[in-house]
Amino acid sequence: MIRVVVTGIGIISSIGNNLQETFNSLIEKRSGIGNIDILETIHKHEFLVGEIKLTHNELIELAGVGKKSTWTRTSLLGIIAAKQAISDSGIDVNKNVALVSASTVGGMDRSELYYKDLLTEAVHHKYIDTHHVGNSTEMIAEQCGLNGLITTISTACSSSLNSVMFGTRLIKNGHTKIAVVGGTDALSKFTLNGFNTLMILDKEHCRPFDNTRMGLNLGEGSAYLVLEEMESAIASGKKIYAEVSGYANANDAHHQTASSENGEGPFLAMQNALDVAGILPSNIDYINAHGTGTDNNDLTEGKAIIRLFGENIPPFSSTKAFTGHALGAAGVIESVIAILSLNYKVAFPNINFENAIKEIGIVPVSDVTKLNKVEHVLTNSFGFGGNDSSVVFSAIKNNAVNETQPLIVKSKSPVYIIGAGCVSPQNTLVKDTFLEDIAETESRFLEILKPDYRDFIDPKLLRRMSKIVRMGIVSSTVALQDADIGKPDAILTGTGMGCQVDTEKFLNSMIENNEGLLTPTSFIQSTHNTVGGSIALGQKNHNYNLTYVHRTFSFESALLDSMLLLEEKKAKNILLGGFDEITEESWLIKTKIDYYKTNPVSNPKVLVDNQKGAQAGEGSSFFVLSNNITENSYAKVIGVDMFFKPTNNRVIENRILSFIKNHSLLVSDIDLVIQGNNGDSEFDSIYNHIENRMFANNIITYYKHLCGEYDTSTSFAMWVASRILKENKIPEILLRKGSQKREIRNVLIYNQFRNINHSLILLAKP
Amino acid sequence: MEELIEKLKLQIIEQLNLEDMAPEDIDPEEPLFGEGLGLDSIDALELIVLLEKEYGIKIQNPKDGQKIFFSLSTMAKYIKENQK
Repeated sequence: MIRVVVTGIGIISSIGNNLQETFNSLIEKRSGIGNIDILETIHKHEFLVGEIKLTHNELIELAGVGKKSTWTRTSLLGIIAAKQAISDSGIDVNKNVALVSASTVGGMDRSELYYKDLLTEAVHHKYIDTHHVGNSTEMIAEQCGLNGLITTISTACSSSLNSVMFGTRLIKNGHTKIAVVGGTDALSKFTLNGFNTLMILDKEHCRPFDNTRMGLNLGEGSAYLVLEEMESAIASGKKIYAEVSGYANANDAHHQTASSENGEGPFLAMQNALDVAGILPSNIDYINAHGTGTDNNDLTEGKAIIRLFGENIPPFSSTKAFTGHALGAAGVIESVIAILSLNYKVAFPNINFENAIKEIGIVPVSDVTKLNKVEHVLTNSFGFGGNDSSVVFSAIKNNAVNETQPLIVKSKSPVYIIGAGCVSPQNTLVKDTFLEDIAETESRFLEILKPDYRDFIDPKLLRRMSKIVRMGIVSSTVALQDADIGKPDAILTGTGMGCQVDTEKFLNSMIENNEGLLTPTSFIQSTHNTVGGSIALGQKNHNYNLTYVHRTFSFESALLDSMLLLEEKKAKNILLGGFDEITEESWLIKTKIDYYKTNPVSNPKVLVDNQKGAQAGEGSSFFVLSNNITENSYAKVIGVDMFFKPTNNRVIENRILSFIKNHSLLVSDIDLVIQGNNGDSEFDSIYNHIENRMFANNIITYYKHLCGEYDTSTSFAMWVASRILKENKIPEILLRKGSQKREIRNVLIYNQFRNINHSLILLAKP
Repeated sequence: MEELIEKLKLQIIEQLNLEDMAPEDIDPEEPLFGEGLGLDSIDALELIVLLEKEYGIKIQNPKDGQKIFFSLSTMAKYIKENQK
């Protein structure tokens, strides 16, 4: 079994610009929380925050990046922390190093400054593409020269603890040997006002686990860990901070923002993380709690701690009164603090604590406390959508190097698609027809054919749900019914832009009302894991539930995680989905940078249109994946691959070729290639090149004239491929080149986004 | 009071996006939360903003909402008593 260790740490937050400064502040009990100086907001004198006292230009300086490029504060913080971590560990970045990052609102810190004039002021157009959550990840990868798998997780406040978990699993499963994991989030008016609508911001210093607590203080920051295989780290004599020994994600499935009465999700996350580490509650020597300082979190987290640890609660503290709540970066910042506890055998204090919470009476560590024995520390992060995660870090025992680990030969267990559901601009929701009657429209963008939502969703719940949540629930319900499964063992979702309708609503109303009289619903719903969380809530499903948000890697990342979970035997069946929604406003914004075509096109003709950009679209496709074949099985998932900014077409060819070969196939074995051509006169040449050079003798089909271009459109392509494999029939409308002469056994999906993000999915007949 | 209650009905339906509801469906004495109309804590926060926006009444502690928003008539009573 591969064990994973931390060999490098980088961190920046309101208590320090690096690891040493962070440690000093913690030991000296120096909080980073204070007045707002940098963020321009009308609430400047109203709330306290954990703000990094560096301006945009000072951050550019510290990050050592070019002044001329377009940076968000989120990216800059991430680059600073990631560079530190990489230099600390001394890894060779050319060695296929993966980057798993996290953020809640991505480039919102710049978007909110320029959004009002985005359409009219061309000078701001450079910020259109820095908005999406994956942007900071790509900036970090480029600035640090990382060239392995890159992806981004966005599950609200648990985001970066989930990236620690996923990076660890990638190494354990032999997918990569080194991973940089963490997250980054800058303070923004969007989140400050959002939390204000929830009335959970304390105007004083936050007081986690105190009876008088009134809410949280927001913070900002970033931290990254370098993870490596333990064996090679020890062999090369590296400094090792800790082993990542346990990890788990569970869903509270209780409420969109609040934790359940008895803390079911937090309890399961902690318990399952301990199980993965193979230890008992009594082995935990320190807990870095989520402890936000809100009435609800601290009470339920406390209850969950009591449920798990009983009378023997180890020393615990929340360090959010130091850093503030850095949202998507909180999990990894607190991982760093937990690792410092492990290394220095000291528990850092829960400052501002005076009186125990009346209902539970538990008392956190309130001063810097020397611990006698520290072998295992636990850290918690809980987020909206009931997303709860826990990670265990353990000390490396001296004898670790001598332990002989049995070599477990990995059995690549087959992954079957046993159910599917698709909402798209075509009539795809019913099983008895397969792209026979095509909806042809002359339009600027393609919108979904609206199902009768009331057939699927309780009208009471419907009122809060925007289009993306509705179509997500409908397509997932259909997929589960198709597979005859009620409650899947895990829910994995991908979305490139997330809940755009709600994000726009909150952002516009914040700008129009000058940050006054805002309401919470659209803020809550704008969270990227809203669909995954809502599905879990509807099923009361407490299982693993993650959302990947990285442009056209989003669905592929969720698919990869699904395959790992099945490989790890952590799940027998998985609900997997990809979805994005189009809005008038987002369409208009992206026409400004030629991402979308400006003039209406009839969709069957879009592929030969000579305007720049693609025809925008939307949709939601869900699948049920399982290790076990059923009568209803559509296809077998053979593999998935993603790569970032290939330097030339030859690199793409080689990558596709080795992907096919790695799965023991030849190019001639590929019976059908589904390509993501979208009629963009600038970028379709890449597809044409690949088609001519590599697949001259294969059948080629395109699909984006049916669903439009959106970040997770490969989920639609996978739905198409699944139906083709099951029915052994290629619908007429899809065919571009060649005709079916033999049984369709292997299907390759190739998609690329403006030559930035490329992905491959390989399916076969079950 | 009657008039205020009728106005509130329309405002609540709009603010909370209760598409399926007509004003006559809401009984002024019926609980708004839980078993009655089935509103939840997020709706309570929406109603707090409604009070501020439409009636200039600021509620500082969200916990106070439970009593104020118990039913339409308690809400109307609170508005009458607190409106400047």
